[in-house]
Amino acid sequence: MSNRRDEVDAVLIGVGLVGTVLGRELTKAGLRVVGLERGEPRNTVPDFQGPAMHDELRYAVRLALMQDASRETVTFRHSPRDTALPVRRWASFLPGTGLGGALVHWNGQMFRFQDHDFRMRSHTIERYGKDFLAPELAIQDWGVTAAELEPYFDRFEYLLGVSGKAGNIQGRKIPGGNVFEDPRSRDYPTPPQKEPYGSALFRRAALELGYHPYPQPSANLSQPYTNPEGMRLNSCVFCGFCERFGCEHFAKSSPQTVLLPRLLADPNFELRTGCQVLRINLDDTRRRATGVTYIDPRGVEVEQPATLVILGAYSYNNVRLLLLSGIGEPYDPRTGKGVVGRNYAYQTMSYPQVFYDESVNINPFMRSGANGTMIADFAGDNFDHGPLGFVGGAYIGEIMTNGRPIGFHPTPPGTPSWGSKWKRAVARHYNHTSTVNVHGSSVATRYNYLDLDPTYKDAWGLPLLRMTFDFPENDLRMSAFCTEKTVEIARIMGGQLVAGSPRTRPYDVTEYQTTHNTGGAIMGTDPATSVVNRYLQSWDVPNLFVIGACAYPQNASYNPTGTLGALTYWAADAIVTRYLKAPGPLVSA
Amino acid sequence: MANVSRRAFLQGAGAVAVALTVPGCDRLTRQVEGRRASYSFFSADEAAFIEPAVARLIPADELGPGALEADVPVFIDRQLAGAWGAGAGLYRAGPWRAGQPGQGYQLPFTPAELFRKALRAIHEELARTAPDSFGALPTADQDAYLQALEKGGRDLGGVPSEEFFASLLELTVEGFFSDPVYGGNRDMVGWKLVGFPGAYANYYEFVDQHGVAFRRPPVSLGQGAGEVG
Amino acid sequence: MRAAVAAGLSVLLATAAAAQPAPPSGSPPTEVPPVAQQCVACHRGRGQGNPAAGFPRIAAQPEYYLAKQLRDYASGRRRHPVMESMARALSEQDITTLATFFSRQEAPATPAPRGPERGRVLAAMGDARRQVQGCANCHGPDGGGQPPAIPYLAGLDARYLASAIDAWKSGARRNDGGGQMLTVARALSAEDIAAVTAHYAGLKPPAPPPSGLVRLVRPRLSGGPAPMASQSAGAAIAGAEQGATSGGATHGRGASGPETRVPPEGGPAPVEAGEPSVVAAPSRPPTVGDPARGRAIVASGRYGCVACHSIPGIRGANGVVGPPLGRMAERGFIAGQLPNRRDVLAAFLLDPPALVPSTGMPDTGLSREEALHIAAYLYTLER
Repeated sequence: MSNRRDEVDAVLIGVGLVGTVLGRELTKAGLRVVGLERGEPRNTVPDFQGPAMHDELRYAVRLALMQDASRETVTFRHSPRDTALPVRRWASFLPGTGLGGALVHWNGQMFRFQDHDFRMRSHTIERYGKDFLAPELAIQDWGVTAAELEPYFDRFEYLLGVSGKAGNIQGRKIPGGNVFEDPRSRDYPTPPQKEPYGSALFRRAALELGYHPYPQPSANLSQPYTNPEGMRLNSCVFCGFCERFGCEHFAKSSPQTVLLPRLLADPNFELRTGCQVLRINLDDTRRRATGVTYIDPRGVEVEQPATLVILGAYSYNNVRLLLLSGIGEPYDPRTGKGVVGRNYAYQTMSYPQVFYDESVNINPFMRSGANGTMIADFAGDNFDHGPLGFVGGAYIGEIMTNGRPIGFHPTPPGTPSWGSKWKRAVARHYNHTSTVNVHGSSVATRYNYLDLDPTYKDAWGLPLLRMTFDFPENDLRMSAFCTEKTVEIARIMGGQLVAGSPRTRPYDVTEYQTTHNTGGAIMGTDPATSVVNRYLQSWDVPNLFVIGACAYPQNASYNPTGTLGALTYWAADAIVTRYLKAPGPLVSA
Repeated sequence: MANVSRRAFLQGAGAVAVALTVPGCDRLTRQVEGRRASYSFFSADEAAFIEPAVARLIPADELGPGALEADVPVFIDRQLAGAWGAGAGLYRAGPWRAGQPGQGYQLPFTPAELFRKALRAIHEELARTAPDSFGALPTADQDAYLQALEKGGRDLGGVPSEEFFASLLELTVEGFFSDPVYGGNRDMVGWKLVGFPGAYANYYEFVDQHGVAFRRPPVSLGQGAGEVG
Repeated sequence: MRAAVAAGLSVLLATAAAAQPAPPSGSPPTEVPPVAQQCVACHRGRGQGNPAAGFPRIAAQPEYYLAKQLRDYASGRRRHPVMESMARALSEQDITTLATFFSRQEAPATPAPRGPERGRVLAAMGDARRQVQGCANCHGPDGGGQPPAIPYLAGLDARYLASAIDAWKSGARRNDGGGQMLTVARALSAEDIAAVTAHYAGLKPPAPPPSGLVRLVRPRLSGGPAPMASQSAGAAIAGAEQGATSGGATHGRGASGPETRVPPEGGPAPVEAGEPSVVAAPSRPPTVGDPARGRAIVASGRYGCVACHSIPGIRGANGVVGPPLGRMAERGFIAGQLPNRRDVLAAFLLDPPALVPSTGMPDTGLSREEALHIAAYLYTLER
């Protein structure tokens, strides 16, 4: 290796949410840290400023902030019997790239998974009996509880300045918040965002049916806020250009707005952008990582030795790098053996729409990424699954994010897809339609998994990740049930027509659903069924921590980022307070 | 031309394009024709199909201008001539196989290649079967032809017709609703049709004034920079 | 409960709302309305201001913005010793008159010399180190504003702009959306403020914005039989055209599969934002009020009418906040803009801001019947 750099204490693979938080915590602990980011450096000023940022074609359609699929994509198939083909153009999910990662272009929907999500297998058995879980389900416990993570949820929410209303402070239920949430130590740092019209109509309808509507917790801030790192955020102005865009107003929590400038100012930290990591290097025992090898912006291969390796790229890119580095036994769906790649899960979405009279101005363009009103009455195990025959659920909410017209021009069922009738319907319904999201959980099954593709390669000649996935029967039943409940609410939201249908098979990679890809390097208590322990430390290589939604054994009803932030601080705390003092496994296998 | 009768073609010779029947649109149509020479991707033959085709996908009518008047052909031309047309962001390595439903686009063509092949095949087909240009056909026949493309199952020089149609429709909608700096949505007619206020967007004051009729004229990215409007 | 009255109005309002914003037609009003006489002493006859004396240009600022500033001066959300007392003396009608008049003025302007590059950079894209975004994000291209709520900055005197930033900084002014300006102003150094104000002072102010950019509409929620309802009588129509439902929140298409179509049910009556939903609409509501009962309701003082209005024949009714209510029947308009009809007046009394968003008259919580009675009573007033 001709380009071997001096050894550092820690190297970060990816400088997004995980990299920024770990970089900050490790440099504060006195470590010399190098952060490797494959994308470009970017900042609120000048990169996200208006009006240029408010360009739907460039950012929302041509996906300017996303990973370049021409160089690196995934292949996809529905089942192990099929041949996987490349996802040649992103659509169903949109992995980001660049400094700050996906938290630059996210919507800012900020949830805590519930305790029963973390203990899904044992909780389900406790409540419904051993025979309730269908054999195809590979759901597992996470190895952590909501109570253990509470301080880390709290810390992450106060870093971001989340705007919301508590539903349970230290056991005291608070009407108007999420009364199903586990006890939180204190309220959100800032009050909820303003409630848009469609959300208000949803709230009334949900109340009428006896549900518990509450404002969606939002990392688009309701008011100016200075976080514990001294970073100052501003109020969101409901511009309607949030997800797929950077925020020009310092109003959306992202590494750039909440933490990154502090990290970049630390002399113990060095950021290197344009660096594509090819693999994590191991010593001869294959039990210790020696650093990473990457391609620098000039195309030169560089080895960066490090004592500690933090793998914090996008969820499934973490899984791919483990496979490319030969760390952990790859999962084999035929035998059910192996761990790396197992329990890939997604999110089960549907979107009933309410079409209103022309006098009802929904004004879809006056929205923020995470505004709106929702209910958790059908999330997770907040309702009795006994008679239903499935596990999991969905949150339901009028949480529209925008009225950008290339992507949003709803028409009622039966409208032709072009011509004068189409045009008339688009003009008629654009400002008079409300969408209700059914944001459903996703169980893990034996045959949904990730591995390396045998045929297709990336621009560096390495195998692409292969995704094998279709919606499990359990989730289709869940979607049918929750979509029906949603339609019941939508029917009394005051519209003239409600149109909606549950999620169906086959999974279609050409339809945007959500970028909530989870699993593949899951956490757990048993090395035979998990890749990392409860502190996100590799079972096989103890000086490697793999932090991402890849750790989720299955995906819950809520958006995953809040839980990822909590797990990130949880892992960082374990590293700083325990691992650094006595490097080695934090949990004995 | 399975769905278009010979008689319809003959009648079409004397037909007037729909855009011309809408008051005020003849001026716009002339302007569009004046810009043909400036296409950087489309040949004259290709433009002779694209222009009337997009005018059927989003027609000018009593609600206002359609795709042709919005300069959607100019938008599509620039997209195909640019990086996107050349396959930017598109994974292009083989081997190439037809996918199953749900696996997405699996053709070996860039968008520019796809259009070039399909438009050549369409031109040859129309030259064989129709005495006049596509734009001179009665609109009902134009629609029937487009519907046949949409329905699919026809090969256009290696491009399935439904794939080409879907791409044309997608680009037409993009050109009608994207910012005018990309060459379409002329005078922001697409945004005015639906009431989208455009690139400058601060609605803090109004988001909780429920149901307010908000009628600010749209503002483009280029405004203030002397490019548009 | 309010639905029936609202229904009577809905056609009228919807028609008005459907109208596109009108560009100021014809030549701008040149005759200064009487109520504006007090303004022009400082802001000059067409609102061009008197920069040398420290009086800003207000010509062609959006109507909505100007009216809001006057209300905020009156309430103290924006502080200024002279403006506060002047604004407190204005009726809602006066505010509308003033805002309309000045917003339509195409006053002459003599921009200052071109400002420094630092000012242009701050205006266009802000400053990363100071964590401040570009002004243009909200104040529009070339400082032309973002009507109706956000004012233009172009061509305003640099000293006025600097004093405004100082007011944001000190908290003397805190009437913007979400407290943005406080954060922005506090992030700027004295040099930054000098540069950015000089930049905007050197730009050409915009022409008057269109009027009628925002209007509150009384919605028809889940109304009677609608055209689309009848075509969708069945639930779960299998094989309905797929992909026709385009767009989700940020989603290209709805979920695929058979469509479930749900007709609106007859049950739920209209719900309005800000009040509980109503389960059943009243049958055949009365449409004519009783003047005697109306007088009794007003005289009871329960709804506080007398605190703001002078009303002939009612003891203690000598408020000056709102207009005097004598000779109600002879007026051309209610609240300066609604047709003066009995049903419209009743609807206005029920929920004034719903019909005239700019009105200072609050929703007093009248029932529909009470509103009808009071309307009937007001039309009997003389003097």
